[in-house]
Amino acid sequence: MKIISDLIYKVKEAFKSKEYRHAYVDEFLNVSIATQIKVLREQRGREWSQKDLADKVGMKQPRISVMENVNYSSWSINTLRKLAKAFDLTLRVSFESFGERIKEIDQFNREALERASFEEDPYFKPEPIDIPVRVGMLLGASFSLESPEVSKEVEDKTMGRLFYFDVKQKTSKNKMDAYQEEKAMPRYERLLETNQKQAGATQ
Amino acid sequence: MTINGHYQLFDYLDSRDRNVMQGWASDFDEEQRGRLDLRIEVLERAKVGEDLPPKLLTPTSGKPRQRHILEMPMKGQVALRPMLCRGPIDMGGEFTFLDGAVERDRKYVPLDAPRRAEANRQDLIERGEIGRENHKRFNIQGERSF
Repeated sequence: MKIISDLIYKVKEAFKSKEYRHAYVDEFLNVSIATQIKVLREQRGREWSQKDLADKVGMKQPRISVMENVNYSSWSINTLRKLAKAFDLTLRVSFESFGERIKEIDQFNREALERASFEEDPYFKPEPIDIPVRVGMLLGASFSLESPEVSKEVEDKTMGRLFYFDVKQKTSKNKMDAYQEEKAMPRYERLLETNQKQAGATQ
Repeated sequence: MTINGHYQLFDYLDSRDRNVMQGWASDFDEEQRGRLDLRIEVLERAKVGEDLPPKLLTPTSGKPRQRHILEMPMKGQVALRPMLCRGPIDMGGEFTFLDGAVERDRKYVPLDAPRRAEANRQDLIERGEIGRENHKRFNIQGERSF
């Protein structure tokens, strides 16, 4: 696999030394935790200063500064748990093989360290879905979910508004709701009403 | 010149074409080599234009201040202080390791390490590309230049 081969090749001989390989990955642990704290703080927006993070964790700002330093090595699981909670993330501590660690080192960069908070977690965030047939039916038109192309007729009826909103930007709707169209229905009716009012206002 | 958006790393060669960094690290133990190689690996993987990992590189201390010289501070039983500079040929996309020191009681050993690193930088600027080579990892003990 190209992804890991370069670094594996570089360290293969050296890793025969137990001292070398343990020092190498221990150093990475410190570097990656310190860097990830800074990356996560910055990912959460400019307003997240070290002071803000310190307040959320119940620490003083200088302590955050110390932890955001690749030379820091006195980590405690308790502190990391607090940080995880502040970032609305979960902490994972696990034992890994050297091969797995090398893969992680090889892919080390800012993007690889970013994590979505619960609010942004794609597993829990409402997903954009294609507008269901129901809206088309409301408009007296028909089209399939597989190819939600807007017919000229439908576009004319809605003054182009509804579909440009729904199909191009897509409507955020929880997957579960998608299967419960009855519950979702009022939302589209409201949308339709709003669009019709807006269309009327512009005429 | 960057490689796929990453920094390119070099080692300074003295007037006898000896790799100064390899000479500095020649009597390091495996643990020191491992830590040093990892730090440099991280620098090599940083993307040009993005922030480096926090405090991976810091300005050197002592007087007179050598404003072009950076150190890679490392804690441990021996506080290693490899010294390097941006460029100096392509300031945006490369670093060159110039010399090494250790720190004891908040002082460099040798004491004038930043000044020596700056002298090497000046020498490299004068000599151009022949004054350096691609960075060599420290894990290959057989390749000692000194």
